[in-house]
Amino acid sequence: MILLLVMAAVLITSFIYDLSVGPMGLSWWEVAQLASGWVEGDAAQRVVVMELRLPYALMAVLVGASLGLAGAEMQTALNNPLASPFTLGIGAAATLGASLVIVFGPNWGGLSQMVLLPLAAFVFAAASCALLMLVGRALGTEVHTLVLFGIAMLFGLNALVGLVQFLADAEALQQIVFWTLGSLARASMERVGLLAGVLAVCLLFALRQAWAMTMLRTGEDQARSLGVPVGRLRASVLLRVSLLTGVATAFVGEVGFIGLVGPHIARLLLGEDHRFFLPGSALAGALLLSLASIASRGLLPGVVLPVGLVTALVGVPLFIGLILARGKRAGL
Amino acid sequence: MTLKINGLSSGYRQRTVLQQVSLPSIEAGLLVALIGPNGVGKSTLVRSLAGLQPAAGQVQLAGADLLKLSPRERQHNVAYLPQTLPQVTSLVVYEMLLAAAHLGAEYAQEQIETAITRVAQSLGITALMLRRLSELSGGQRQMVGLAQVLVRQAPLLLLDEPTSALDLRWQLNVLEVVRRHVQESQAIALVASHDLNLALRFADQVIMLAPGGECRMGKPLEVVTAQSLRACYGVEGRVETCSQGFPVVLVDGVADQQRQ
Repeated sequence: MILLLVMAAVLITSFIYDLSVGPMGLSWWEVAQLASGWVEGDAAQRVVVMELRLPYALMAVLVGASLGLAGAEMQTALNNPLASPFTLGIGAAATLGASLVIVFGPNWGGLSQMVLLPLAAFVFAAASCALLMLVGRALGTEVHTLVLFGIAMLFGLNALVGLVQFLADAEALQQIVFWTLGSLARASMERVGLLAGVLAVCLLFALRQAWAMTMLRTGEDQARSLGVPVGRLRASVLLRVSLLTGVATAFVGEVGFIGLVGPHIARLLLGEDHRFFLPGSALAGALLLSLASIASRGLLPGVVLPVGLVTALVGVPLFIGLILARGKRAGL
Repeated sequence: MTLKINGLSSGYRQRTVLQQVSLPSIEAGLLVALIGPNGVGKSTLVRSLAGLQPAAGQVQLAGADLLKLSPRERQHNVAYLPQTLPQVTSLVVYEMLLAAAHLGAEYAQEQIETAITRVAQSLGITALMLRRLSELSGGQRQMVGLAQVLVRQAPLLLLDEPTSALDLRWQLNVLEVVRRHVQESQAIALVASHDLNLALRFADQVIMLAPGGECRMGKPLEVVTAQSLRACYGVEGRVETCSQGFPVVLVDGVADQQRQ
């Protein structure tokens, strides 16, 4: 519990620092005062902090938390430490949906691309999850086969994305590439609100199944003999994963690293009691993407790098550091 | 409370392992050993009763048909120990026992800690409570699994090879703890095992499953005989009494095919 609070405190610090990064030269203390309403500030400062940087920084936290939670749930439900929304093709499905809209459907149904693009990404992510669920039901409890199916789906979808890219003109191709790199630039308070709602609902339902998921980590037979409906648990996890990944990816594009590594960081720090592991994974994911958001604007002066690109650059050293520290503690 | 198994059939997609198995009633407070050679269906029988394997027939426990109960209803009646526990998990032992007590028993919140401590002490695993399962040996993991079963206070304990990874001393300790537990809580323990000597020493009743679907139940020395060893296991053997007064099986060799 103390570790969770420490993680939350570090996240808040990172979030406030993220708000202060930019050419305006505001200190994190000034930003904290402006964001909390203690100080009015001038109009330009308020606009920059509250309307430009706040949605950006909040989106980083919420997308990171969503993907961290989705990855943790997937790794438990599929009993595989390599499972994540992006390693099993759900992110690739979202990218395919977005790519199809970019290349073939700029005005489908009279809807603008701003609406169509996230909608298609979400629908495709949900469809890929539904397919995983159907295969899961057909295969019963053969989890490893389900993971293999997910990996096969990833390769298939990547091939389709490649085909769409091959058919795209130069401008559309640039848009698709930008999408696949992930970007927080499309953040708005409406989208932040929607994602916050989805995350809150999913976290609530996930925590209600925390004991069952903890039991699942002690073995599927043990869990089933304790009355845990393993098939239904997996289906509800995949439903939540499709919601979290679909909505998050729809708003920011592919940010693949978080869903895989966020849960591993939480596991290293907190263990696998899911009452702490699930919120811990969300916090770890949020912290990773918040740090990546800071780095994306701080690494090259005057240039905002795609956040998906920076995530791995920030996350890999942090992750390796944790593994080494744990190995040293264990005397390895 | 009694356990009655009547016409139980179970198996896998293309192979029926248990065909219409019926047994005399098993009374509360008894430890029953389930023995037989490889592949006769010991684990299938245990898993069927635990609701982990599709099965047909009737299994009455205290008047309720176990096979018709929903998983949630069954969880308070049956506690199952699988042959192995997962090696790759970051859970510590205390968390595993906490999850089992929380999901599988009806403790008041303030009683859970006491129940876990009592079971851990009885099995001698108190020192392991804060260790991760992945750091434990096979035998220690088996003890943790058994602790998960005991902490649930279920009336029917189904233990699949609970001593297979334990050293000699802990085999005796563990079965003594299980026997004491079923006597004190008036539960029933069905223990699938390959170890005939442990079965003879600790079981109140023995069920011997033989190839071909034959099934015998009775007092250990009535069921484990030279004839049944030959018919069931295909070995020439005898039951002797050791200097401490316990019956032991001595195997002389593989039985002549003609005499089986």
